[in-house]
Amino acid sequence: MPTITQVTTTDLIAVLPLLVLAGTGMVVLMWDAFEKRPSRIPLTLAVVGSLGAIAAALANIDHNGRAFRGMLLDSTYSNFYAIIFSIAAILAVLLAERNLKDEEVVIGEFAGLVLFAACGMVMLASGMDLIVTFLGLETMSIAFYVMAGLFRKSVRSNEAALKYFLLGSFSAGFFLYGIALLYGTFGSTNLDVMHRLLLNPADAARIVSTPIFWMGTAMLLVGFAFKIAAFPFHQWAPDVYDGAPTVVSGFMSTAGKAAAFSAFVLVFDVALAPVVANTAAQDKLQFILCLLAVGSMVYGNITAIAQTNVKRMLAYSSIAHAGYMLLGVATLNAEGSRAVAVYLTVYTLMQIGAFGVVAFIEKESDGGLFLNDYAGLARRKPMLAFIMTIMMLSLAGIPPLGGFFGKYYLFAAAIRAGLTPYAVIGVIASLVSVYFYLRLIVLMYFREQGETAYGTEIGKSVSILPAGGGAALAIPGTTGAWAALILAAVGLLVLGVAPAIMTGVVQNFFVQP
Amino acid sequence: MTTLTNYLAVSAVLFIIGTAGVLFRRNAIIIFMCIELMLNAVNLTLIAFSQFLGNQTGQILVFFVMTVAAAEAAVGLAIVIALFRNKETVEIDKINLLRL
Repeated sequence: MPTITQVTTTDLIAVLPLLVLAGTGMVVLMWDAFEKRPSRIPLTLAVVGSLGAIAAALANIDHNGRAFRGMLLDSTYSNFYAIIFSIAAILAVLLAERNLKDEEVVIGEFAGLVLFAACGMVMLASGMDLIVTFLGLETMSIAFYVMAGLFRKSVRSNEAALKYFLLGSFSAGFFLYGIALLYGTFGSTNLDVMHRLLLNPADAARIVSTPIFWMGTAMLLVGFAFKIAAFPFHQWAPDVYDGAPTVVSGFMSTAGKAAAFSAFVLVFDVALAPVVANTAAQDKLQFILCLLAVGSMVYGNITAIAQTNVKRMLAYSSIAHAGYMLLGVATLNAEGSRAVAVYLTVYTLMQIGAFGVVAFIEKESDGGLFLNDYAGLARRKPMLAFIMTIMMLSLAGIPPLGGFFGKYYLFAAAIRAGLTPYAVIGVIASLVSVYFYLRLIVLMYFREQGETAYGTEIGKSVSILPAGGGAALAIPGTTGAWAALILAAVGLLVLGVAPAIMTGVVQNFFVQP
Repeated sequence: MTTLTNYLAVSAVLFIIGTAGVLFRRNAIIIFMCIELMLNAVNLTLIAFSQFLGNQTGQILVFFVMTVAAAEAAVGLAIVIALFRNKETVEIDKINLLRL
């Protein structure tokens, strides 16, 4: 007779960030349902809730254990990611008021969805059981499907939501099949149990020789690759990021990707890592991961050059960045997973900052999604142009910004794990990327408005926004958005100058209790 | 005598039928039905393994999958309705604003 275990206080403290996010999300939704006058209270509540989650995660950051009978991870790893997700949520909520005001979007719904998505993300980063990982993935994704379609009257937004929904649940099917097959192989869905079985040479040899193990791993890989938008599972990303409201694209492409990566690392670099002992199995797994990485880096960066729409350009560049981080996952060791975490932190700041600037421009010039709209921006909006420059330089990986150190750690970890050829390809691909990031800076600083450098193609200039964008110049809600942009820019500078802030924390990631 | 392999084979076939449906059908609702078929194929796998291994984790997971599928259906149909109001179609070939 199994004993019924009660939920202990330790368990509750461990999931405090999760509880705070979920609780605030529900309060925000309820507030929105009963309060008819538009107000800033839901947004403020969401920011406060996310700050609360950060505080809870900071309080837990020295923990090193499991909660809920081994189902949840409660360690530096999960709490570090919880902080990243909460920061991304704060940035998204701050940017939202300005971006969503003109559309018939109930702002409280957006704030609630951001918090629920963040909740799913925290589950992903702390899932030590594939059941939790699956639930986290779906909690996050379902919130994202709704957020992508937030502009209900806009066909483009509808279409983005439908595409994301169909491809997202399609990939969830693969992910789930992977879980089922691994469950069949290991007899458990717990990552710790898998890890322990693989550490035993006899069990490991048996497991690695079964086709079901490899099928399950491959299926899981497909599911994750979809979520992080890695080549060749990226097709949805440009369309969805282009059609979704800009601030939502920023949130999805940063926190969403970070969350998928956090679970990816837990499954592949922690649970399945002992396959390293089996050289044949290690080579097989590493080769597949590197293939995905190289494909994403090369394809993302080269295709981004051809884009004239800034949102699409950022979408392709996000595919390339997924490639860099996949290289970190492919190391199959703790150093690689630390590098991924460092990179995800700076990536979140720079990508959400870039999308934030896009949201500003899109409001001001009605449409404003094309490279042309950025010509002469430095003269019209020096501050915006400056922030965009920081974001672009950081995305390109130019020191002393955060992006440089992120890339450095990733490539160093890859080289130390013996993946030198792939790291070389990565460096070359990131050199290619400098071209299109710098092109935007050149446009902003050295071109006049209206000077045609990159033709606007007819048929693509369909604006998400209704006519009348001229009045948008005086819209309120700018304070929060500016605060978010400045926060992201300062964060990148600080992390670039003093990367020790992060590297110190990530050292404690996988310390055995 | 039905063995584990039989159950796994049936669910694999169901999963492949679902995948093929997603790839080849053009109606958003039918694609969605095919995705549900995939999820249910996985449920069959899970239950077969659960029975074979003699542990309950798989069956618990099936309940979670059904709950998630229900939540997904609610959101998915809402998205399809929102799109239909603007476009009057659910054929994904006819909604192609975002293609390059």
